[in-house]
Amino acid sequence: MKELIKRLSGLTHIAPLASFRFIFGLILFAGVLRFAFKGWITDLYVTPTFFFTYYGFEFIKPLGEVSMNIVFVIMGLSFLLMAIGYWYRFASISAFITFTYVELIDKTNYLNHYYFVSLVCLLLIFLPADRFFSLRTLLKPEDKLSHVPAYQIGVLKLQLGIVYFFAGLAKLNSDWILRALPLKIWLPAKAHIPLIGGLLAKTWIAYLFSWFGAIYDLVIPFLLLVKKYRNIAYLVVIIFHLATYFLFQIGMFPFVMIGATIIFFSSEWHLKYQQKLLNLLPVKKQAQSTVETNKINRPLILVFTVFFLFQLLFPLRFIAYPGKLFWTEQGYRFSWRVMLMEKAGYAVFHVTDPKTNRSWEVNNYDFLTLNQEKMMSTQTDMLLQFAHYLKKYYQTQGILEPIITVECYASLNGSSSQLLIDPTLDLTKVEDTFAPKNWILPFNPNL
Amino acid sequence: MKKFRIFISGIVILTLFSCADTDNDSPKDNFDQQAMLSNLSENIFLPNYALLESEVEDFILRWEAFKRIKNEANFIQLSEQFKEVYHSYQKVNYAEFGPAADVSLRNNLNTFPTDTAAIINNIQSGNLTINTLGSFDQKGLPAIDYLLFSKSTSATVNLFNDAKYVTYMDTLVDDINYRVKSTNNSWKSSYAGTFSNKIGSDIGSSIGILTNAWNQHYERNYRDGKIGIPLGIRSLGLPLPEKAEAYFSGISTSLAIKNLIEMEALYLGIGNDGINRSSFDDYLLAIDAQQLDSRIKTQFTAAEEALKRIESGELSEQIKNNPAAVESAYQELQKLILLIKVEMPSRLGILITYQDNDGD
Repeated sequence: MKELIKRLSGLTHIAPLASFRFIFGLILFAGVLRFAFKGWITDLYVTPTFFFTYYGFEFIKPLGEVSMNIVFVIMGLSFLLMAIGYWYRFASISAFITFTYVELIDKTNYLNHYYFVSLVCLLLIFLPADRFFSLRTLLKPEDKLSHVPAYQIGVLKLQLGIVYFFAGLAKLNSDWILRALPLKIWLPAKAHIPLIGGLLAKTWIAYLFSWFGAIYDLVIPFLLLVKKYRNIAYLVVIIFHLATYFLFQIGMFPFVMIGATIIFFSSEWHLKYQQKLLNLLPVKKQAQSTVETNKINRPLILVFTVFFLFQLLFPLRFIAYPGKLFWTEQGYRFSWRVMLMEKAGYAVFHVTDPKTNRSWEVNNYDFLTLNQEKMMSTQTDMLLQFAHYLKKYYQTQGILEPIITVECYASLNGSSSQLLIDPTLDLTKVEDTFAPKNWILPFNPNL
Repeated sequence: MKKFRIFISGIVILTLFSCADTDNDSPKDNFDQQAMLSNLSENIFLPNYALLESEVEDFILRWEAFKRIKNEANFIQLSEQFKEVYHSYQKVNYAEFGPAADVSLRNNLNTFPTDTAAIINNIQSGNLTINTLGSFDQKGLPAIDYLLFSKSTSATVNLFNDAKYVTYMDTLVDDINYRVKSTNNSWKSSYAGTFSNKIGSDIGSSIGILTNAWNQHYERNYRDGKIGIPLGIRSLGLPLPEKAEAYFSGISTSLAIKNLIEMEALYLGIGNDGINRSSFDDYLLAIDAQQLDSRIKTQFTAAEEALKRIESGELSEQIKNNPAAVESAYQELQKLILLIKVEMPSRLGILITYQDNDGD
């Protein structure tokens, strides 16, 4: 243990950490701008009348239109400040809080890379990433720090490694490996793309992409760690993520990963490019500052240890649940399951007033946005949440004890659609917990 | 580097084996999306809009004739032509995008139930501003349906001896004519080309736009608007037969059947000349989704048959006297949604929202 702590605390140059801060902040700043310009602040956080909160975070509510916009302004400025390395402690804390707050409002918008961004922001709060190659050290050279304990850069590499490796593990399932699903469905939809379109319709390409994707995720963090393979590995990183960017609608994720993985490069590499950038600035060349170093921070190491233990265990919670993971989605989120399945569903909620014995159906689109309805129709916890919302709604309409059932059909990886949950179950009598949802009907792959 | 090469070759070999073992890699022709879009635009949308325009023109001729000689014979000609217009509108109502969306064709032509009190009020007060957002339910085909069919033939003929009624009717007809002409002209002059060339399956592609518009129409305006709402699905189970489409002329079920047949023609790619060309069904066959294709075809037939069982008499009467049959038709329509809104877009990789998604 002592040996480990000693190794982790061995000094290494701070440059990769500073570059990471710069690139990560810039990409996320661009991400916030993109989000705002697409009008998503209003579409996602102002327009909806109902929000699918996360278990345990039901108290998180969106603010009004003006306040939500202010939150995004603060978020954007925080990432910008983070990038330039000024007021960094404030910036990293406020980036973490605003970003995480927004993500917790509605699980409809859950994306693995948003979770990744939250985690990295949290890590950055504890790292001295602004002590080099930053506005702070330009203005105040005596704050410059040239070396940090290795673990302070290692945590970011470990975080990236976890994302890739778990994403790779998640691909080791029979649909992905043996049947090339869902790529066999997704790629032919891109057959109109010039030049490569014709290839994308071929079954063997779907297999190649599936296998390559799985192996890529599993080995890329290790290849990036080894100096000999680093350059070629990074080239593969760029090609892989750009390919996913052009083929799928996955937003900023490819750029976040392409940017973040530069942390694996050596300090010489980083120093070289940082100097090139600094040469563009109209500042006098400054002498290297003194080699000051951080002391070993035992409480911090403990915090990181707990943080990563959680991350290593939480994605595995699916093992505790019965049934096919992709079908039940119990333990699906926060586990780096990216681009893994093609799932679609349609939910019809039936309401019965026991007093009058009258029954009717709910028009989901009266309450939900297109995307909320789409997401809900395949995810059992959201179906339950919406049923509870409907119960409250009908109670305000004078129906005190509505019986609410749902007829929800879903299709997984091109299967025929089949009932997702027991259509006779009164959902108002069911509470969401971490216990297995025994009212989810089993998936029949042969349908 | 050597190990790395061995590793890569390993991947390639494994990949090749996996293909050989689990799937026969039949090289299939790429589906020609552009051919499908050209077919839809040249053989379905363009002729359908042209037909609607000519039916509206015909209606105007008969309206002018009726204005000259207000007798029952001319009125019958007028009201029969109205039904033709309403039926031909069923050929385009699912395509509320592009030029149709630009002039809000659906809201302006077919917002029902129509607000009869507001219409009478407009007529009496001489209010002809029906171009506001709030006046959708005082205009279009449902308003004419009310004016022409809410009273007996003789009473209606008599009604139009009041110049105020004629003026209001003129305003309604002009508005419909303007919007239909504008839509048809835009399709002819430029949009047909735009539509055929925007291939792909993303949110801005023609297949994406069409599928989303079609599904939205099917779910909200067709299943709910034409059958579900009169049946009471949105009113806590209380039937509201007076909310049916074309309530006064009583052609609701006929319009619903017509609309379903037209949407089936869209799915199959059957043009106005009756020839079946490339469309969604061929697209599904091209990606080996024969089973889904046949389920969709079967369900179209089942839904049509269920509607035909309530075809006799007016929908509002059927809802009162034969609710089980209407309910069963509604259920058959419901089953089709699952296929065309969920399974088909899912298999074809058609995006239904613009938001980022990492596939979960």
